[in-house]
Amino acid sequence: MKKFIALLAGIALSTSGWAKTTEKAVLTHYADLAHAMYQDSLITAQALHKAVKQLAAQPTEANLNHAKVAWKAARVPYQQTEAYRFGNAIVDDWEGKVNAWPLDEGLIDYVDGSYGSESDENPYYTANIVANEKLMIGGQSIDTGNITKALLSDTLHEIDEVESNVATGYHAIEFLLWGQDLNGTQAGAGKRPASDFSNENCTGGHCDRRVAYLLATTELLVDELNWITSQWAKGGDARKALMDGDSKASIGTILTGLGSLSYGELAGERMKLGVMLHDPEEEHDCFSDNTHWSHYYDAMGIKNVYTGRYTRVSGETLSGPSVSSLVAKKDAKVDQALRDQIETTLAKMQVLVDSAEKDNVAYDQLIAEGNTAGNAKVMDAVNALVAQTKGIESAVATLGLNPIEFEGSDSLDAPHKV
Amino acid sequence: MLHKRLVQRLLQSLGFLSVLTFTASVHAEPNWKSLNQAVIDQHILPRYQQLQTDTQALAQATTLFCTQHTRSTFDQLKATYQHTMDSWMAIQHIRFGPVEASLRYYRYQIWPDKHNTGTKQLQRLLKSEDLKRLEPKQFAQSSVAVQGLTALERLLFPTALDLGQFGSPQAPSYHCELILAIARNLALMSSAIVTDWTVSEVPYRTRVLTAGPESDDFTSHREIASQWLNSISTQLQVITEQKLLRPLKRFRLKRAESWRSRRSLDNIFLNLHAIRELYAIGLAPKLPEDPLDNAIKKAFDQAITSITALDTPLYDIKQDSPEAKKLEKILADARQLTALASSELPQALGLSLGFNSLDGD
Repeated sequence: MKKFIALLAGIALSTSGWAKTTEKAVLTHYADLAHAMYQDSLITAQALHKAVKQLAAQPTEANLNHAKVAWKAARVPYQQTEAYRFGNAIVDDWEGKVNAWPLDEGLIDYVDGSYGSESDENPYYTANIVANEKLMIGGQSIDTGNITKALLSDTLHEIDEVESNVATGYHAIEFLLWGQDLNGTQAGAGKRPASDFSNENCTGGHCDRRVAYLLATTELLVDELNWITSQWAKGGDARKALMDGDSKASIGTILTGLGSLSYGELAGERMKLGVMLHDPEEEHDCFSDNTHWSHYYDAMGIKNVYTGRYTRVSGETLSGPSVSSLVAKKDAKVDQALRDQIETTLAKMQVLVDSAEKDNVAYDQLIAEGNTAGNAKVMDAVNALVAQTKGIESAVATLGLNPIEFEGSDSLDAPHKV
Repeated sequence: MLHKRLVQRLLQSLGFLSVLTFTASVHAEPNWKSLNQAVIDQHILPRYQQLQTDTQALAQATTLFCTQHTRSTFDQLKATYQHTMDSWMAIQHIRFGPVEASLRYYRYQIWPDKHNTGTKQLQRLLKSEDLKRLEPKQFAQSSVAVQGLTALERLLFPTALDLGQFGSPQAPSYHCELILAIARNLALMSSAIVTDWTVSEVPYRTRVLTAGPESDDFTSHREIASQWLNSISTQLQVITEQKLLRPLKRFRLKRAESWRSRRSLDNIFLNLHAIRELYAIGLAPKLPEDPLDNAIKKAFDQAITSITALDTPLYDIKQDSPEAKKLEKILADARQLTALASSELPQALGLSLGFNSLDGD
C-alpha cells in the first residue's frame, strides 16, 4: 500500500509533457494483455481439469502423465501473469489462492520420514487431510469428512494463519500429481504412482479421498482463474482501478509490478535463498522439477509487459502501446538499456532451461551444495535480475515518477560488495 | 535474572558510552566523516572484537566438552553459547561491510525459518554421519541453515537432553563433530571480519573513510551514514515484526527467536542497547537540541525499561497472564520507536532510507 501513497504524492510534480491519450493507450493495452494472459491461464487450467477428471475415472500411468503434461502447460501463461501481481492490489490480494509457495505438503497428504514430524512455525505441519476425516488441533476439531471446494478454500487454506498451509492452487495440485521429490539434489522429480488414485489397487491409503481432493482443488483453480479474468475484462475492477486513477500513478503501478517481481520475489525469495540453503525444496516447482520454466516465463512476462507484446497460447501475437515507448520518447538510451537488461535476464534463464532440458541437470541440482558451476549459473540470473531492477528504477526516474519502493528480500539487500 | 547478568556485561564492555556521547555533543554539528569514523571505532569494531573473543571461547569449550564428557563441561559450553549470542545480538543490526561477504551474515544466523528448512537439513546431516561434509572448507560452503547459531542452539538445547548423543570422550559421536565444526566455523568467520575491517590489503575501515567522488566503493560520507540509519530502522522492524509480532499473534511462541535457549527477550534487550548506541554515536550529534532527538532517546529508554520489567522468558509466558500484558507493552513501545526512526528521522537528518530488507515479507 505504501507504494501507492508514494506514487500519488508524485502527481503534483507531474509535467504536462505527455499527451494523456498516450498514457491511456498504454494502460488500455496493459489491461488487454492482462486479460489475454489470464484467459490463457484459464483455458489451460480447464484442460488440466479435464485431464484430472480422466485420471480420476481411469487411474493409469498414461493418464497421470497426461495430467502432468497439462499442469506444465498451464504454468506457461500463468507465470507470465506474475508481472501483474505486485502493484495491482486486486491481483496481489488474490494470488495466494492459486500460487502460494512454499508449502508444508504434510498438511495435504502422506510424506516421507525425512520431512520430519514438527515445525516451530506450523502446528499443522503433518496434519494429512487426505488420511484424516477429522483434524484436532489446538483443542479445535475440524470435520474433514467431505473434501469440498469450500472446505479447502475457506477452512484449510492458510489455516491458523500459517502461510505455508497451502491447501489450494498450482502447487497443491503439483504435489498431488507428483508427490514428494525424494531425490534430494540428485536427478529426478517426484514419483507418485498412478495407483495412489486407484480404488481397486490403492497405494498410499485413502485413495478415494486423494481423488476427491485433486478434483476439488483443480475445480477451484478454474473458478479462481475465471474470476481474475473477469476482473480484467471491460468493466472489471482491476481494469477500472487502473484506468480510473491518475494515469501517471497507474504507469507507476506497472513499473512497480515489474521491479518487485524482478527484485524481491524472483531474484531474492525464489532464487538466491535457494542457493544459500542448497535445499532441493527451495525451488518454486519442487515436486515436478519444472522450476526452470517457471522462472523463464516470469522473465518473459516482464518483457511482455514492458514491450507491450504477448504471444498467446493459440500462437496469436498481441502488440500495442507500451511503457517502453513512453520511456523511449523521453530518453531512448534508458529504454534501450532496460530492454537489453531484460534480454540478458532471459538469456541467463535460458541457460537454466537448457541445463534442465538438454543436459538433464534440473534446477534443484544446480543449487546443490558443492556444485560451484551450477550455483554460479543461478547467481548469474539473480545478478541479471538485480541489474534489470536498476534499469527499471532509471525508467521510473525518466518518466518523472516518484521513487517507488520495490518489494525487497532479506537475502538480497546488499548494496555494497566487499 | 538474566537481565542483571546482561546489564553487568554491558557496563563492563561498553561503559564508555556516556562519555562519548557527551564529548560528541560539545562540538555542534560534526561532519559525517568524523561521525562515521566514531561509529566504526567506538561501535562496530569493539563489538566484532567481542564476538571474536566469545566465538573463540565457544570453540574451546566445545573441544573441552567433546574430550571430557561431563555435565559440568556441557554447562560450561552452554554458558559460552549464551555469551556468543550476547555478542551476536549486540552486532546483529549491522548488515553492512565484511559481514556481507561470503554470505557471512546468514551463516551466523538464518531466522525465522518459515519453511522448517533448518530442522530438516540438520536431521539429514546427522543421519548422513558424513565427516567429509564437516571439513572446514566444505562446511563453510554448505547450507547456511546448518552452519550457524540457530543450528547450534537446536543441538545444545533439545527438548529432551541426552548427553549420550554426543558419544564418549573415546568415541565422540557425529553430534560432537558437528558442534565442533559449527563453533570453529563461527570463530573463523569472526576473526575474518575483524581482519577485513582493519588489516586486510585495503581495510574496509579505510574504504569507508575515504568515501568520495574518486572512490570506487562509496560516493559520499552521507551515503555511509544512510547505512547506519538503515541498520537502526531495519533492526527495529525486525524486533517489532519478527521477534514480537509473529510469536504474539495467536500466541505461537515457538516462532520466537531463541525460544529453546529461553533468551528471546534478552536478544531484544541487547538489540535495543546496540542500536541506541549507534544512534547516539553516529546520528544524534547531527540533531543538537532537536526535540526529535529527545523523543527518540526517550522512546529507547521507555522500550528498554519495559523489557527490564519482565523477568520471565518469553517462551514461558502464559496467554492472558500479567506477563503477557507486559509483552504487549514492549511491543507498543517498540512500535512507537520504529515509527519515529523510520518516518521522522530520515527527513530530520536529510538522509534517505533506501531499500528495506523486509519488504518482501
